[in-house]
Amino acid sequence: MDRAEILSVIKRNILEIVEDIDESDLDPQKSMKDYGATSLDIVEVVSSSMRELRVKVPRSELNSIENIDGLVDALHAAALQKAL
Amino acid sequence: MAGLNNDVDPRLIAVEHSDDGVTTIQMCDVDGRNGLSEEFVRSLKSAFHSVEQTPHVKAIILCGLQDAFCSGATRNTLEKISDGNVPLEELSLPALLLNAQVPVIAAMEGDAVGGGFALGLAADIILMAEKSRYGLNFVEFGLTPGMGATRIAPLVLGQAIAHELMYTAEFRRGRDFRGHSSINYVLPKDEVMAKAKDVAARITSHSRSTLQLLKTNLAAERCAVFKHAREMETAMHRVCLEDRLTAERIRRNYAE
Repeated sequence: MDRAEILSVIKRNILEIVEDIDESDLDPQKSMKDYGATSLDIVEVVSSSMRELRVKVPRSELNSIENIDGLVDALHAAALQKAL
Repeated sequence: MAGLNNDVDPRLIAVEHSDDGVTTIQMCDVDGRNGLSEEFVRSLKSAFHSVEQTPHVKAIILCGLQDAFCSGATRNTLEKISDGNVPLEELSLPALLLNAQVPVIAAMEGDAVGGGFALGLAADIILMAEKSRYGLNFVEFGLTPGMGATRIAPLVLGQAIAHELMYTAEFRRGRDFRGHSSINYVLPKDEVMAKAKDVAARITSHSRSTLQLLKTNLAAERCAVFKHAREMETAMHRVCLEDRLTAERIRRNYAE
């Protein structure tokens, strides 16, 4: 599972979960909050993406993530760890 | 806005009495997103007690912020629970609504999380917003549900939805409860407060003594259910707390 695949899962979940989002091409350098996501939206995007990718990262490790790219990195690292 | 009781911190809870007998208790802690901290709970209790001493009140509207009705226990409160210092006042909060002398209308415009949702579900009339989220996510922290949710939620939401919410710890949008539960209104967010006021106005056209009598009667079954639920929930919490991993789950899973 590579970064691009993870990014595409996260993007799809953002578009499905965050209401009234009108941008189909999300910038991974931005935070979900920039697109109007509430804290519960973010929790749901993260939970859905982890469930779909079959990886688990503790919330405490996600609290400091600043943008979508950071979330991709965290889930990618967890996927690599799992593959070992 | 004028609180009758000095114990109500206006930064956390705002109390407003109208001439026609409606008291609005607004949970307004913007910084804490209406989390159930010790100070918040103390203020909320004082607000309800101040209403009891106001003779002309015929209905209470309990509301929160546009984006957060109540976000449930704060991390600090959860950690106290996990340390075995169960803050009973927090866990008994729904009793404020059940035991209020007059009907309570919960106008849940914003998200309601865990104990925050359990609080709203104890109201006599319940309004939700179509797009806001509601959940009973206690198990995410290794804790069985509290605040009467194990029995009150199935009573109000229907067993099927309540069980799914409690077992999965997932959230549902307000619109998902439409047609499956005893929720009075599921509306666009900006219409929730207006409808709550409309319902309150229709209630306050009747005599206070009649409303009090009716409230006591209609809440009696839920009061008994709540009491039983709290006994069982307290027993379950004791078992959960014997698991040392509970504190770790709270630390790992609490979203800041």
